[in-house]
Amino acid sequence: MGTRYWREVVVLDGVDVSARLTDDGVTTSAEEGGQGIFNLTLKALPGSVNLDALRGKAVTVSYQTRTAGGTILSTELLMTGNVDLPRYDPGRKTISLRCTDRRDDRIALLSKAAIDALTPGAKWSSDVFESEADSFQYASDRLRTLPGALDCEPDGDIVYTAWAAASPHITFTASGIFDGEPPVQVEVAPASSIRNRTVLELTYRYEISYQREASSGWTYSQSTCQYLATPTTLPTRDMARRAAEGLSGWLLRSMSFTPLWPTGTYACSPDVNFINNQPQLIIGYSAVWVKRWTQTIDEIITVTLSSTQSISTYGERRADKTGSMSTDFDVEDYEGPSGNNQAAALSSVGGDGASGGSLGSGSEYPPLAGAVQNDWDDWRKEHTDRTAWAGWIETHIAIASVEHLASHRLNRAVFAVPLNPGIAVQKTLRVNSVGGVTCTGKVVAMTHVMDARTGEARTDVELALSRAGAAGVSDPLMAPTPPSYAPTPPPTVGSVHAGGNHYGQDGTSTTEDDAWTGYRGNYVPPLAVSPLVTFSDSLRVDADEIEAAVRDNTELPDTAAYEVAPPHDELSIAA
Amino acid sequence: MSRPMLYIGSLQIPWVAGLDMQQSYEPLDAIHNSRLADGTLDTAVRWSGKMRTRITGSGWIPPGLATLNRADDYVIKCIAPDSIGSPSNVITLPAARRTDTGADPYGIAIVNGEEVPAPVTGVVGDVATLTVVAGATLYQCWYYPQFTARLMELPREFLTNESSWPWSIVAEQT
Repeated sequence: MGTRYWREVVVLDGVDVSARLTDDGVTTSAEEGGQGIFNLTLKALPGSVNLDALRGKAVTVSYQTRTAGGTILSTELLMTGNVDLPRYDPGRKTISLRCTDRRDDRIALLSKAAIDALTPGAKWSSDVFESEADSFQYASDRLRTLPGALDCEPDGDIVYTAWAAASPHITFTASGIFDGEPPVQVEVAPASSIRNRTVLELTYRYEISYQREASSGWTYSQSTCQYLATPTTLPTRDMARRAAEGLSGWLLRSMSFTPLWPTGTYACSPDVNFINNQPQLIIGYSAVWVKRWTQTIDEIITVTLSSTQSISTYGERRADKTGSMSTDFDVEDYEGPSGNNQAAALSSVGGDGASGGSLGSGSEYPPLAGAVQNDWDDWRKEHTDRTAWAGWIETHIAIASVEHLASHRLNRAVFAVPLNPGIAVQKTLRVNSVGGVTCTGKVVAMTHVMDARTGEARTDVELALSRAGAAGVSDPLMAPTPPSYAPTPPPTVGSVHAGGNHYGQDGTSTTEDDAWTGYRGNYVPPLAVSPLVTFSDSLRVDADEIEAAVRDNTELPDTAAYEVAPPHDELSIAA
Repeated sequence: MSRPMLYIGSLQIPWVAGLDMQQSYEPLDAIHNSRLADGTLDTAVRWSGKMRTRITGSGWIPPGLATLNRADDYVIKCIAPDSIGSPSNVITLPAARRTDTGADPYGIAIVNGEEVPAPVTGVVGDVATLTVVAGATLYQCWYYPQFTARLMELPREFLTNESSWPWSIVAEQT
């Protein structure tokens, strides 16, 4: 290696202050994902000492090589930063400056777009991270999904560097590393620090909105002549309307009526003259109802990340985690506050509604935009946000993957070399057979030591060595295909039942049954006076329950598996 | 070769205050030596070329050093000759040397292993020319260093049993 003639060069606020440096020297330290720091001490100039003005001033530290005669051979930047804390020592008349590369501040000042540009490939989901996070937190969150770090280069630029060892920027042999006991210290992390399997139970809750449309109605059971011979009470339009509108949980879309026969002579053997003086009476109606409801789906995907080579080498080291997200859907807005409340009375069409015409245009309560009819003939729409879902699930997967990768690179190779300005936390170094050690890894920590008192100028290096048992191939960390939910419909799906005729005063002892649908009335006059059982004059509409398969909260389990293969960096130790 | 007087700045140390004086020199530098893993010596030099001297003496009278202090710079006019050896009779001397009367450079030659005089015939700038001596295998030019220094140590004593005044000065070149 020979003899190296060197100087530290410090430029403070644009002025070379190297001549004012004390022999305390300058040490710069950088650590992957952390702020670079350096300290130096200047002799105070005669006069006033303005410590306040020093705060925040730009500082650069360089390493200069010279000939024995003092000719400058090279000047290379080691670190660029700013004064963080100046202190004055009145005894020594010196000003010590604690400086940093302001890595954290610089990131905090970046726009989120700039951070995105610095961290391509990162995942970020507002269902995992805080949406209102500041830029520094935002960058930190993105970095949780990337196997790499944001660090300042010697010139202060912030760059992203992948953890994975690159092709070595510098290779050191025994002639380039200081001797020691040993010259290269290799320390492997405990097996307990390894994570090679992660099981994520990720639950996505969303709603499916349904709309079922059902037609039904009531038709008077007697013919005209039968009615004229054995008349009964009949329902009015208003009764029918109230009954149709009163169907609990259903919305009445439209309704039409069959009025009582008109005034005239009817051939009933003999002919019968009939005068219809009650236009409000009906002998039939038909209606269309709409049922709206929602079903809550819990889509539970069990995601397993495995580092197969690592598992076979170190045994399974597993962590289980859970996560959940949901897509909001306004159920009340869809169904009404207590479920399918009639929003408003239907308007009359072709009459006043009391004595003629029909109700509703038939276009009331249309299916939601985007809804499609399923095998049940229900209009169905999943209220999912698959873009957000994919971002959420990929963020979780990426975080777990990064944790796998991080846990495999806790192994270290530590050594010191004659000060080398080319070493930075962005660089990959190789040690070629030094003290029996050969290894390749990315720098995770380093310190340039320039001791002006002793003349020592060295660089302490710490390499991260990723070890996984063997090399492998990772899967792309893409969201899986979501499970679908399409239950088989029953032979007959639930509907509305409005038909039926039940008349009292028919000479039987039959009593009313509240479960009857349709019309309940009486023969007038009674067909017989004994027994004389009188029914209420009412119309009733009933509906089936919505089937549990499309109604009840449903869990949709699914699985997905990914291979995460941490790098297997070069490492050999010869005894 | 007679010994010149010792000066610390403008202060002369009288003969009788320094009857048995000793002066030593050692280099001052920031030179760090380390072995590389293959055994090669790596030397890192931040600065070099400075000197540290220790002068001790004792006499019948005190040296008169009380007005000296450790904060000021003093020109030390040394009394111990330093020397430069060369196969040539033309020798470049350091600029940091005494040029006052009585502290002139002095030359010798080595002939058959023996010291013989080789008087300096002239000094032009820092280059001294010694008299050529037949058979000389080596020439040496002696000179008295002179450099600006700051006093690191300045102890003085008085010994009643010997009635003597020991003192010493440790100075480092600025």
